[in-house]
Amino acid sequence: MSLPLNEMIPPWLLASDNHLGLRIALSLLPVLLFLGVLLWLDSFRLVRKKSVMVAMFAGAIGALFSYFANTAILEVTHLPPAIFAIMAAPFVEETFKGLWVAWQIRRGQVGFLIDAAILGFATGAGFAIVENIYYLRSLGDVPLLVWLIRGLGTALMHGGTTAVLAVFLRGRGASSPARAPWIGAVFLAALLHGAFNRFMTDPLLATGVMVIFLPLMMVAVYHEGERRLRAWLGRSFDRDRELLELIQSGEVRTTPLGKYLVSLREQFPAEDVADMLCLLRLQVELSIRAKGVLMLREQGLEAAADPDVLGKLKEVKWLEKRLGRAGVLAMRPICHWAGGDGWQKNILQD
Amino acid sequence: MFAINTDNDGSLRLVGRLDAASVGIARDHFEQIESSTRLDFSNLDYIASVGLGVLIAAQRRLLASGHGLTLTGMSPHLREVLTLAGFEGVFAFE
Repeated sequence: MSLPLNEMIPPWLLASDNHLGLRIALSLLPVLLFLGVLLWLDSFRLVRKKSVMVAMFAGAIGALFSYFANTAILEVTHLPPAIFAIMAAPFVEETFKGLWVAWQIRRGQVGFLIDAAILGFATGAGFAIVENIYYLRSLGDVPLLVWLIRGLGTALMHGGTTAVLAVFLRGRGASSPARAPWIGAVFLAALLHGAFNRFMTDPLLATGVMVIFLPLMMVAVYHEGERRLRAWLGRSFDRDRELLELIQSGEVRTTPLGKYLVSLREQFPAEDVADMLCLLRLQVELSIRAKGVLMLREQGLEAAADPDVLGKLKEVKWLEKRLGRAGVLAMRPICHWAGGDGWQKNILQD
Repeated sequence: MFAINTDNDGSLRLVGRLDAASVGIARDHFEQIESSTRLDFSNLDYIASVGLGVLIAAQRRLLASGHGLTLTGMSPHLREVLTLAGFEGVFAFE
């Protein structure tokens, strides 16, 4: 690593005989602090702490796989390290970092841009921590400036690029079976990663750009994410409420919803159709609950505890199992969240 | 059409439809509330989520100063929806 050392850098940052605690703090803390700020800014509290820990663990595993893959590719291709760092390593690393978060999005565990950004960043942070621990062990006595750059530059970059990948996937609706969003997301993240590595010929510049650019990007993502979430919350809360009123009215049969349910009797036994109506009502009730919780959380208020929620979730699970995949899929036109929206269940279980 | 009338006992009677088009009227009115107040929903035909958002914001402000809104005259359906949504612990229902 060539450093543009100049007189503006304090001498203590250039000292190699530094304390291990300082090296650890500079290389590991910035990314954790940034992650903490992201969680703190999430007024809807969309992400559970357990999910953040799992994301970081997945990122750490991704770092191990990337290490072995990068080593193997280098041995086979004999690319010069500088070229490899720009052209190959970013694709390998972004792929391994992105796998877990993409799977979570596909499973419906990530509902919005904000939780996508947080979980993506957490995955990248886990990756960066393992990478920096590796360098702490292998680099030995190098100036503190190196650890500052690794902590503020490289580590934040890893979090930021995976956040971009996750936001891109969530924004493009990666729950669809199309592969294009995944390829596009990895390509975009790898492009940013490669650009950062390219600028590492001037590490202070690269780190400076990261420190300025990443918070701005996250502010933009949060702003847009909250705007979309509020709009969605309003629309879907009103729709759920109208649907519940319709179910309670006892006049379902005369509505398009009722006609659809009646049409299902040609393919499903009558008791299955009755269970579908039960499932629909439960799903609507739980959906109203989850959205109410979010509306209150945005204002810093807590919803009243509902002792029935866990029982309803169990009942939903039982009904979905009884109806089978075909039955749940048949409900999609009238109950789009049937069999999905795991993020909603997470909010209900909090 | 939406309006807020003040009853003799100081409670506020919501009349008409509180939706996106009329939420500005409600917001302006609720921002003036500084003490515990009863909101009578018995003449309210419809309240959209955007209206509930204004209610929540007002309640948050009032709770911080030891006051609060009491919601009365709700239809059984609206009451059930608000209970399901977890609002019962935040607002007082009558």
